[in-house]
Amino acid sequence: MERRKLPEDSAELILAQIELILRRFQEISAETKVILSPESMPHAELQLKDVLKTTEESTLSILAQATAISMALQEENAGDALQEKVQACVCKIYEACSFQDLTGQRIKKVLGQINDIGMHLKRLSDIANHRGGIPAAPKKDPLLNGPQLTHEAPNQNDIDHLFTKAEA
Amino acid sequence: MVNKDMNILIVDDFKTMLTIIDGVLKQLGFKNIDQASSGQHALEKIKNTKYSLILSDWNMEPMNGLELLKEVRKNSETKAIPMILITAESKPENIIAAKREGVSNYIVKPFTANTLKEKLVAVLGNF
Repeated sequence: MERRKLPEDSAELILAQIELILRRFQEISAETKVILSPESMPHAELQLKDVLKTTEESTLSILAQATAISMALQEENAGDALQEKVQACVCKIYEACSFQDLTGQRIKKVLGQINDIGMHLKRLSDIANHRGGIPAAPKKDPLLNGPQLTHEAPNQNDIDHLFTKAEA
Repeated sequence: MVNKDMNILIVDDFKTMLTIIDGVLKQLGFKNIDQASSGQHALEKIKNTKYSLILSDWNMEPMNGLELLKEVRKNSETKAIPMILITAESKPENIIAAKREGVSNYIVKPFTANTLKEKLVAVLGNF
């Protein structure tokens, strides 16, 4: 990790770090509607990882059953009209299950922010103990923002319009 | 006419999304579908199999979808493979960056089976 020389005015640096942490807490509170404290962070991380795991398991189970229904109809040589009706329902199940992907991405984003907070706290403690300077914050890819909030996200028509206008 | 026996590679770090896209493609009649969980994993598969289409997420590690697209377009053996990004990344700068790197089409999540079919037709032709 790139390191930069510890500046003389550590107090100002500590205040800037505290401000950054408070801003992160506000961002996470706004996204999750939960007030986080430094003590609750490890527990919050475990809870979120558990949500990720259990929603994935349940969604995969739903998808497997939907596929099984579709296959059973084909194997039993069910009539075309019935097969078509059921396939349409199975398709809707697939579409609905994509919630888990977006939920998972939002949770990963929050987990990343919790991790950032942990890193900032460590930096604060390093500054306070004058250990080895301050590591620079890792660079974030500006193109990787994850899903936008539902009421702000563009729909496929908006995307198609941007795609047609964009130059290759 | 589109050959539904073509090899298709789908790339996403979420198992549920791989299952969904695989399921929809099979409902559309495509049979040979491989899966990869990252851009890096996809590149390894591309070395060994000739794919006629790649459908990829963007936000993955190691190697995200845009990086995978750049690698595919860089290689003379793979540069002509149609590649569609299926992603939650939806800001104008994402679309511009993807188009600049030669993406064939762009689907934003959440998507419907009809949208996927529409984009496949746009890229491959009618089926």
